[in-house]
Amino acid sequence: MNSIQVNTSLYGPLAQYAGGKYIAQKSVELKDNASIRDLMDYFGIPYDQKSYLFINAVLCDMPGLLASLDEPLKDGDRVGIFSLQHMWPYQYRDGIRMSETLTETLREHGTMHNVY
Amino acid sequence: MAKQILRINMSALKATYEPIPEKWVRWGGRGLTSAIVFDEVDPTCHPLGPNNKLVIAPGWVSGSPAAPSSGRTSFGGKSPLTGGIKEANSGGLSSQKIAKLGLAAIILEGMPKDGKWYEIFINKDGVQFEDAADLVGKGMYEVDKLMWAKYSNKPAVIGIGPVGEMKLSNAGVSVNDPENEPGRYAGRGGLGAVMGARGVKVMVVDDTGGPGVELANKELFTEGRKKLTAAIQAHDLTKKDGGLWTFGTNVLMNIINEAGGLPTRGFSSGQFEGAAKISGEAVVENIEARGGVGTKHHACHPGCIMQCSSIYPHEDGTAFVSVIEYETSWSLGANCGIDDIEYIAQATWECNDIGLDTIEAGNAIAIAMEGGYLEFGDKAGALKTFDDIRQGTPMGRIMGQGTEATAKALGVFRVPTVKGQAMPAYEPRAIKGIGVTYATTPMGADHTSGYTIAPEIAGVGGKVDPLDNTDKAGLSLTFQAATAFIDSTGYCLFIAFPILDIAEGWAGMAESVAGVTGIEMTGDDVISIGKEILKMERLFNEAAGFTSADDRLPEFMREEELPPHNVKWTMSNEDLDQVYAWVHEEA
Repeated sequence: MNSIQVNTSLYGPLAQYAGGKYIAQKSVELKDNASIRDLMDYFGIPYDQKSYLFINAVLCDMPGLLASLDEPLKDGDRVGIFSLQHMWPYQYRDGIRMSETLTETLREHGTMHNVY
Repeated sequence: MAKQILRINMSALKATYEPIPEKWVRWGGRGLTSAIVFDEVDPTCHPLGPNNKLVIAPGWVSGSPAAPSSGRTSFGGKSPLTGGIKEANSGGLSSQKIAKLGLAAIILEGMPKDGKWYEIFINKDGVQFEDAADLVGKGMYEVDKLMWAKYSNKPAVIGIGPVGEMKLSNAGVSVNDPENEPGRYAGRGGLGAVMGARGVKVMVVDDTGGPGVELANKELFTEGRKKLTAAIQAHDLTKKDGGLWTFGTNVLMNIINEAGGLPTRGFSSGQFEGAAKISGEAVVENIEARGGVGTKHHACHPGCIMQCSSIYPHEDGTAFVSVIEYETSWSLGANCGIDDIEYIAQATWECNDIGLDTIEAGNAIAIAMEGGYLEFGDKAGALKTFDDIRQGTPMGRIMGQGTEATAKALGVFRVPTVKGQAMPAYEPRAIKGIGVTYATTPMGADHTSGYTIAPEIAGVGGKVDPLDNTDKAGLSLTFQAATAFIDSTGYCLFIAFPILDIAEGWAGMAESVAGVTGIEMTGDDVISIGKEILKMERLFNEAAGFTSADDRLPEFMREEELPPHNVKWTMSNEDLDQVYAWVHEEA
């Protein structure tokens, strides 16, 4: 079976799942066709402990949502996962690039919030 | 006792206490500084000349009992950096002490006929003028210590470093924090030069024995401040163990970088490979490891319950600098291609000492790197620029004038400014919403001019789709108006985070203001009051010569694609012009 390398950064307390304190950056080998769910399982990160999540600078998830778990990963992807202690006010994310799944999820919520 | 205006005329070396004119009685903080500048400052005057003024105003609720996080002081005048109206606000000790002396504002006007530098002491008994010759050339760390040694009761110290003395356009106004350190700055727009042009090196404010702040409706005030306090303490971003509490404002470094919106090496990329090393997470790791006086939770003014400031220690645990904000770490770090947090701490200390706005300073250094005067990543070269500025060398004076002046001197056309003021730490090509605010705010490119506000709370619910790009103009205006209101309250702008999501907090903010001032208002009035402030500021700028052509982002952002998303700035001029079209459409 082929494998892929995913460059992963864990920020805040999540870094402890990869041996860091508040920052951990590691290249992880996963099976081909792996997803964000597989990556979080690799580290043992509880799904409800993640907040913002990026794949290749595309916002794929928000605090309080689970929109990214089935996002597929490919070799060389860059993933950043943030803890619930992180914050990103609306003004500073207005207009950034988002995944189709997150876009649809936010549309269902209707209005803008800092936390869902 | 009704509040008064303290007018200090430096030409006559005379101070007078005046009743607040009816036209200003409803304003505080930014609303009051802008109203006074609008009424009293000739928009065509030279910012450093005799007809400009420095107006200092605590917010509506500053100094009132137990109003949470309410120690912001607004400084206003005509900006030497932008040529337009400017309000910059700061934490520190000054807001509550000025308010408790019964003052709604201090107007500093005129210029000393003898050309001397002055130290001004203000207490309940009046105003004293002293020759400040001994303070000239000194940095603010030393000035603050000297003032606390000279005066009792731990007074507020409002001062300028050598950059303000040289009247350079990137001079900020320093306010001391509760530990008497000078890390609190009304930094943007060069108001330190306006203070320097009045011949004032330092103002010391002692509120001992002052009348305090009267409450027009104690019950309403108490109800409002309890709602606001509860919202701050409940919200994930501002509560204890929340984002600001845990990592400070620099919590944004890694997030903005992951999003591809972190301006890097002179706004040439949206991601910096060394971002993690200069992030809030890295700062906190060092604070915890070094111990000593370092702390992750520091109040920049008495009564702040968010405590997003920190004290960064040296390796031996002694105090190094407070505070390494996100904007500071970005401008002096990522934007210059430098990933060394110790260098950033030192550069921050230098800015605090000589009196520079860190955002403008980092941008000027990046321009120097773009122009070949320095190399990107050159820490030693970057630090030497602070020596040059302090000493007033020709290149130091150019860089102390800010980003545009440095670009002109070095022939650089990629200049990330609007209305002469450098952009903060959010790339508008990647984070398009903030680009609208950068372009249109009367303040020049400013990340605090249009803050987060929930559309449904701000009364525009149902009109704004967060995923729709067609109404960013309307959204930006709402942001800007709400920010103008919050900047008038004396509350820290970060209360915007909890009141975005908690409607009770939004209402409590307005009710606490109404309770202190007696002005009838509710949460529904916030946007309309904010628009009144924006209108004064906009009309001042128009009278100063600004047109819609000044509401534009730099040309290079329309022409260069920003990696990693490879996007350009594409907002049309027509859409940008819609943001302030109402100024002349509404009666």
